[in-house]
Amino acid sequence: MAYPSPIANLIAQFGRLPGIGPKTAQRLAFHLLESPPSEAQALAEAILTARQKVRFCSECQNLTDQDPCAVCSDPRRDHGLVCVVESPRDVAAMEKIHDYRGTYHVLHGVISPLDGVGPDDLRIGALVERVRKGHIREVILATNPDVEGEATALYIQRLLQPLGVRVTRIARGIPAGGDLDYVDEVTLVRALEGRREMGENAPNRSTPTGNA
Amino acid sequence: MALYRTEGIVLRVRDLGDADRILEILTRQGGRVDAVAHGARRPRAKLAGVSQTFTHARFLLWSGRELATVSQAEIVYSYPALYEDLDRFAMASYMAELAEVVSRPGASQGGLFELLSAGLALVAGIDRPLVDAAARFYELNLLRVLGMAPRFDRCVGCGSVAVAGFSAAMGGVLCDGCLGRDPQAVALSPATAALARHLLARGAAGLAGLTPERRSVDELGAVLAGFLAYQLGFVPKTPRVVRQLRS
Repeated sequence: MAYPSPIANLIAQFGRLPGIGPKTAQRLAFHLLESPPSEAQALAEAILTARQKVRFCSECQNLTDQDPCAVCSDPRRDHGLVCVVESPRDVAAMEKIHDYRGTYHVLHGVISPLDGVGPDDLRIGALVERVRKGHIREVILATNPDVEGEATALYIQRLLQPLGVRVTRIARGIPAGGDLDYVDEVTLVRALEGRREMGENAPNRSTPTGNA
Repeated sequence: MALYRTEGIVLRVRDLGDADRILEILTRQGGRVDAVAHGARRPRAKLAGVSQTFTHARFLLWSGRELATVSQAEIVYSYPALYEDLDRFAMASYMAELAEVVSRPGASQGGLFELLSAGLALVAGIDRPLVDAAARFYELNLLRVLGMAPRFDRCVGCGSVAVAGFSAAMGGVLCDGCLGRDPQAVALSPATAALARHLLARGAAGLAGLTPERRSVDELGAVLAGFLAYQLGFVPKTPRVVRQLRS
């Protein structure tokens, strides 16, 4: 049975979203049609408002409704410390730990030759410009520790090193609760490289996170 | 659903849902297989290590209607050098892209798995100046695996041993007298043709101790890119990114 045009259109629009198949699109459409009009109105307004108000922060390139974003305009943050991440979701993950008080730079992707994504397709140029301004003393590369994330970190390190800024990489190794038997050799090598001395004579942690 | 063992190399990884990954695996016996690695993006996942591009592993897979499911996996090689050098990473990506394009789901292609395995080992371990030559070795031998290897020993027009150009349409080198038979033919030096013959005849071991001229490696690269585009009808994405990484 062919649906009336407004319903068919609604199903088609839901079906364009990632991870939504035809059946799920139908279910969502009928859920909305059967719910109170105010709920549909609220959803439509939320979508429109988000699309209209959310843009990229001119400093860190994160998604924001104000420019500069809340992090970049916060005077209590350490603006000399920049954590480079792949996506806005990574910023949210970092903020959850409440231990990092520096700022961010969002690349919106990683170098992935197989997908045709090169450095020119990411927001690396904006990061270089920020560093060139001279207020940044350390850039922490926090891309994912997979092959594309490592390549992106290597590329950025190569660009930033001549600018005289300290470039660091987040630690990689065996996760808490992990199983040594299942760890790949890349992770094991990294874990051995990053081993730390134990006991009373062990040096203290020296990884500033911008905390006062 | 059946459980089976296979050896494979991960060509590409895609995220699925919140914590899963789809691995595109070139298997030794069964061609290309797409398999879900459940929970592979979680930090403590047992399949996290194996769910990385270029990883060579032994898999235990459940077959499925569209996607297989990874039940267990054990890493054979994970090529740490590809994580530490942009040039090696870029060329390994190029090799994986070509393997992805020419492989078929569920159908083994004799020698393709072995070639990719040799190519990745080569690009991960070879002296850095020879990384591009390793890519030429891979391109030439990929064409041979596909039964499309161009001739570099004799003119494809008249059989002469003299080399003046290369014709993608005619499938090999041309002498000066035959060059006019293909208006699209490009110039090719005898030294470049000799390099191609060496890479085809000597295998991966033939690269050891080789000191090819940069010009010959680049010229062979341009000729083979044109030949691959002509024969396979596609332009790979990775070379554009390689140029960006090197600029």
